[in-house]
Amino acid sequence: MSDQERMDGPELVPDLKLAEFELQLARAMARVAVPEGFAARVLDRAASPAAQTVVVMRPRSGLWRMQAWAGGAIAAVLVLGMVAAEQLHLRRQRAEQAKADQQFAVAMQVTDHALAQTREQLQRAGLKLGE
Amino acid sequence: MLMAMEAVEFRRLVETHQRMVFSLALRVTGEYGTAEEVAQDAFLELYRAAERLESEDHVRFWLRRVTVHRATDALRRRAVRPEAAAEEWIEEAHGPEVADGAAMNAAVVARLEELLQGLPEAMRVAVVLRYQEEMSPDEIAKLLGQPVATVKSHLQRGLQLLRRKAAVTMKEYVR
Repeated sequence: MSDQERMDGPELVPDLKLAEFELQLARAMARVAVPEGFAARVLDRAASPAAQTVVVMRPRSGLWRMQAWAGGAIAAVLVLGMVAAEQLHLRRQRAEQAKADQQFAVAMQVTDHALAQTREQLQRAGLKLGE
Repeated sequence: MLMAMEAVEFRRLVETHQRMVFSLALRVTGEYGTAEEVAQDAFLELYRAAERLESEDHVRFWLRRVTVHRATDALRRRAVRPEAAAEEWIEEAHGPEVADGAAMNAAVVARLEELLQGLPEAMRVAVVLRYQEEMSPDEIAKLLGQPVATVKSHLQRGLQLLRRKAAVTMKEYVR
């Protein structure tokens, strides 16, 4: 890229002084030399088994961690609540079933008793049930 | 381009791009050790991602983007402004380089590098990509995923800020 292109690109050159400053800056910002042995260290790391499997994760912010924690807690509370509600529902169902069974047994006893009395009365009258 | 990254090919890519990657990392982080760490990480990511990269231009674009992201991540993790570390690396980075370029005064180079470290992160990244990598605002916008107008604004404000600081602290160099 020529100096003129550099100046024209971002529309940064309102006057000559600024243009000169840009040129000085561009010269000052030449690429620097790498530390000695840099490439060898990179190649060593790439050759290590860890380099094949490490997944680079961007660091999460504190807010994100808090949100994740709060989300997990809410989910756990919801699951516990659902399990507890289900248990309560089952317990009520069983209690109602037991109560219904008991009522049925009482009703059967009453019916048997009534039938026995009726049979007795009929026998006394000289009749047999079913005739 | 690279179906399976072989050692020879990887070495070639490291040797071709190491100055670009390290210089970017150094100017964004302002700290020599962190810059090396960031640069190594960028190359290791390249090693793993090589199968997805289609050309030499794609590799260069990808390396620039990953380096800038990793460097800004490192800055945020460190959670300190980089000015304090600027002095440390200026001499290390420019000692032999400046001696070669007689036209450029070593003191000017060192001072401009120091002033660069005082810029806010977004402006510094834009200025480094513009003047170190000679990228156009359009190219920078694409690399950073920002609107071109934002990049131009960062460049303009960064340059003005640098020049204003330079005018105060190095009057003999700013004509």
